[in-house]
Amino acid sequence: MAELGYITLVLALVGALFALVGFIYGGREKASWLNRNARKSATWVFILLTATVIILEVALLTHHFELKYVYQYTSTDMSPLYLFSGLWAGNAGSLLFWAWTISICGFLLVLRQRPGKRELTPYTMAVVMFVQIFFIILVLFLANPFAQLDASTFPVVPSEGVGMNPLLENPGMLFHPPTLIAGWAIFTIPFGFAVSALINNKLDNTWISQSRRWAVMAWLLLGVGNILGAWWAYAELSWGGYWTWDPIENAGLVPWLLSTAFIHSMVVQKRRGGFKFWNIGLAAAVFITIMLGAFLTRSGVLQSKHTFLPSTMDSFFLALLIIALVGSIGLVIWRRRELKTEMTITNMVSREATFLLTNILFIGSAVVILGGTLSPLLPGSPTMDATFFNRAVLPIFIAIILLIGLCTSIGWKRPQARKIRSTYIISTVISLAVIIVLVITGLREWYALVPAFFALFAIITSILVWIGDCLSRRRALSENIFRSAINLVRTNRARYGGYLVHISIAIMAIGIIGSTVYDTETTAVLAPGESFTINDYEITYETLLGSGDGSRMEVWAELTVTENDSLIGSMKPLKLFHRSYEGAMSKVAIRYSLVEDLYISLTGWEPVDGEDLTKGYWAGFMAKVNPLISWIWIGGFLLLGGGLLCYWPKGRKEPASGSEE
Amino acid sequence: MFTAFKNRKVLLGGIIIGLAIIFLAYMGFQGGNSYYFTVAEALEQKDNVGQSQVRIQGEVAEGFLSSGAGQNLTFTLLHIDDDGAQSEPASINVNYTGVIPNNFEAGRHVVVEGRFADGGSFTATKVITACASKYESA
Repeated sequence: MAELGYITLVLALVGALFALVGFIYGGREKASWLNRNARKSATWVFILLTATVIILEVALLTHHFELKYVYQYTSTDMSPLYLFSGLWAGNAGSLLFWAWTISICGFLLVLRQRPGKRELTPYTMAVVMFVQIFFIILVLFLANPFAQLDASTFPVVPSEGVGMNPLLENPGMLFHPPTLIAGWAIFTIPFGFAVSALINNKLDNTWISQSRRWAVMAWLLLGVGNILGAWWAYAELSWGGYWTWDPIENAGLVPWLLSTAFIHSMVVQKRRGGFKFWNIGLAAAVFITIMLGAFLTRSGVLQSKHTFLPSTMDSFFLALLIIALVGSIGLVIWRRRELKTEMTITNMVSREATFLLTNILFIGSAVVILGGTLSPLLPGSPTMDATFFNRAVLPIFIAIILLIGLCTSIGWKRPQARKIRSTYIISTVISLAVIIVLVITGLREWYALVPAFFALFAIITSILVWIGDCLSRRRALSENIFRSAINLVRTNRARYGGYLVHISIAIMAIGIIGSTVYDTETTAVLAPGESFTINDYEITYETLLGSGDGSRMEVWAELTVTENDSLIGSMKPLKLFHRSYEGAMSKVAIRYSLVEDLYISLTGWEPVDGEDLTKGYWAGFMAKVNPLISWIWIGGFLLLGGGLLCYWPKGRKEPASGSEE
Repeated sequence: MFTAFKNRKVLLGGIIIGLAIIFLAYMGFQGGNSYYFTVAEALEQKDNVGQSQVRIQGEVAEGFLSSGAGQNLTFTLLHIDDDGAQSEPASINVNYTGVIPNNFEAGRHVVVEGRFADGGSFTATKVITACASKYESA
C-alpha cells in the first residue's frame, strides 16, 4: 500500500518535471508538439496525484497503522467522516491535498483552453508545474504521509492509532482546512497568468479575462475558509470569541484582503483598460502572502496559539517566497513601459475613483496587518496585541463599509447625479431611523452606532439600486416585476452577485459590532441547586454527571435556563477527557438565536465535601451573552451565495436591458 | 506605472488616505504594543518594567495547582529559549484567576500576560496556551 503511494508520487514528480520543460520550451519556440505532450503530462500528474490521494484515503479508512501518518491522526473509534478528513488533519496530508488541488487546476486549465486562445497557457502552466513540483517534493521528501512507523519503537504494527485531537473533531474540521487550502492552491493559476502575461508581453485584457473566474473561486474559498475558522473557534475553543488577531489568522486574512482588491481591480482593466500595474502587482502579492502564511505556520518564528513545531520545511517555503518575490519584481521592471495605462481618472465621483480607493483601503489594511504581525521579527521590536489591530485596522474596515454604500450607485466615467442623490437620501433616512430607534432604546456608544449606520446604509443602498434596476428593466421590456428581478440577475450575474457579497459583508459587520461592543461575560462557582444571572438569563446548576469508557469520558453540568422568569430549556456544557490527550477540554453549550447567543462553558469542579462525594460538586462556569453574533455566520452563507453567483458561467446572451452598467 | 495618480486631485486624495492609515497604525501602536520576554529576560528586566504589563513565554512546570472549580491557577513557569530549548534554570511563580484555558497542562508552552506582584511572583490576567500541535515536525 505504502509502496504504491510512493510510486504514484514519484511518477507524478517525473510527469510534472516533463510538463515543466515542455511548457517552457513549447512556449518559447511555439512548438505545438511540445505543448501537446506537456498538456498530456499535466493530465497524467492529475491522474497520478488523484491515485495518491485515493491510496491515502483507503489507508486512513482501513486503519493501516503501519503508516506513521495514519497512526498519528486516526483511530478505530473515529467515524468514517473524520477518518476521511484525516487527509488534511496533519502536515503531510494537507500538503498532499494542496498538491492535488494544484493538479486539478492544471488539468482543468489545459482541458478548457480553446484552440486560438492558448497564447498564455504554456508559461502559465509552466508556473503551475513549478509550484506543483515544489509541493510534490515536499510531500515526497520532507513530509511523506506514506512513511512507515519507526520499527525500533514499534516492533509490531499497533492495533490502535493515537487518533485525532478531540478539538479537531468538529464539523469545522471537515470544511475549514480543505476550503482554505483549496483557495491557496487555486490562486496559483491567476499568479501563473500574471507571470505569463509579463513574459509574453501581452498585458492587455487576455490574462484578466482568463484568470477572472479562478481568482473569484480562490477569493471565495479563502473568505469562506476564514469565516469557517472563526465559527469553529467560537463553537469549540470555549473562550466565547471568534477572532484574536493571532499571527496565523492574520496569515489567512491578508491574502483574502489582497485578493478582494484584485478581483475589484480586474474589473477596471477589463472595462476601462486601467490598473494594469496594480493587477499584476496584486496577483503576485496574493501568491506571495499565501507562501508567507505557509512559511509562518511551519517556521515557529512567531508566537501563535496554533503551534506548529519548527521544521526544515520552512526554508523551502521561504525559498519559493523569495523566488516569487524577486521574479515578480524583476518581470515588472522589465515590462514597466508596457504596464503604463491610458486611463486617467477625470472625475473624482466615478467608479474608477472608487475602485482606486478600494485598492488603497484593502492594500492599506493588508499592509498594516502584515506589519503588525511581522513586527516581532525585527530585533528589539515589540509584539502587537489585539488593541493594535483593532485601533489600526477596524477604522479602515469601517471606511470600506461606507465605501460599499457610496460606490454601489456610482457609474463609470460620468455618473447620473440625480439618480444617485435620491438613492442616498432614501437610504440615509431609513438607516438613520433605525439608529434613532436604537438610541431611544438606550444605546449610546457612538463607536458602534456610526459603523452600524454605515452598514445599514450599505445594505439599503445595494437593495435600492437592485430594485431601481428591476423597475427600469420592467419599463423597458414590459416584463412582470418578478420575472425582471430574476432575469436581471441572470443576465449580469457578476454585478448582482457582487451586490449580494456587499450586503453579506455589511451584515457580518453588524454581527461583529454587536458581538464585540455589547457582549457581556460573567463567571460563577456554584453548589448544586444554586443559580447565577447574566443579563435577563437565570442559570441554575442542577447536578454534575459523567459517562464514558476507557478511551473517552465526558463530565457535564445539567443547567436549567430561564429568561425573564420563563423557562427556555436546559444546557449541558461539558468537559471531555480523551485517551490521546492529557488534560480535559471544554465543550461549550451554545444557545443560538438571531438576537443573541447564550454561551456557557464548564470551567471545572470540586467536591463539596472531600470525604462524602454524595454531597455533589461545586462547579465553575463562564457565561457570555453575544448579541447579533449569528449574523456573522448568516453573512458567511450570503457571501458564499453571492460569490457563487459571480463565479457561475455566463448563460446564453439576452438582449441588454436599459439598466446595464 | 502609477498612472492612476496622474490627476492631481486623485494624487492628493491618495496621499491623505495614506497618511490617515499611517496615523491609525501609529495610534494603534501607542496602545497595542507589548514586549515578549523569556523567563530569564523578565527576571532581569523586573525592576525596569515595574508595574507595566508584560508578556512572558515559558513552559508549565509539573505540579501546578488548580482550585476554585477551574477558575484559579498557581503554577511555575520555566524558562525556554525562543527555539524551545531549556538552557537556563530560571523560573517564575504565576498566579492566575480566570477561566483556565483548554489544553493547559504541564510541559506545554504558554504565554502569560500580566504584571509582577510585590513579592516577586507574577499575577497573570491572561494565560494563552499553544494549540495542540496540529502539524508535526517534518
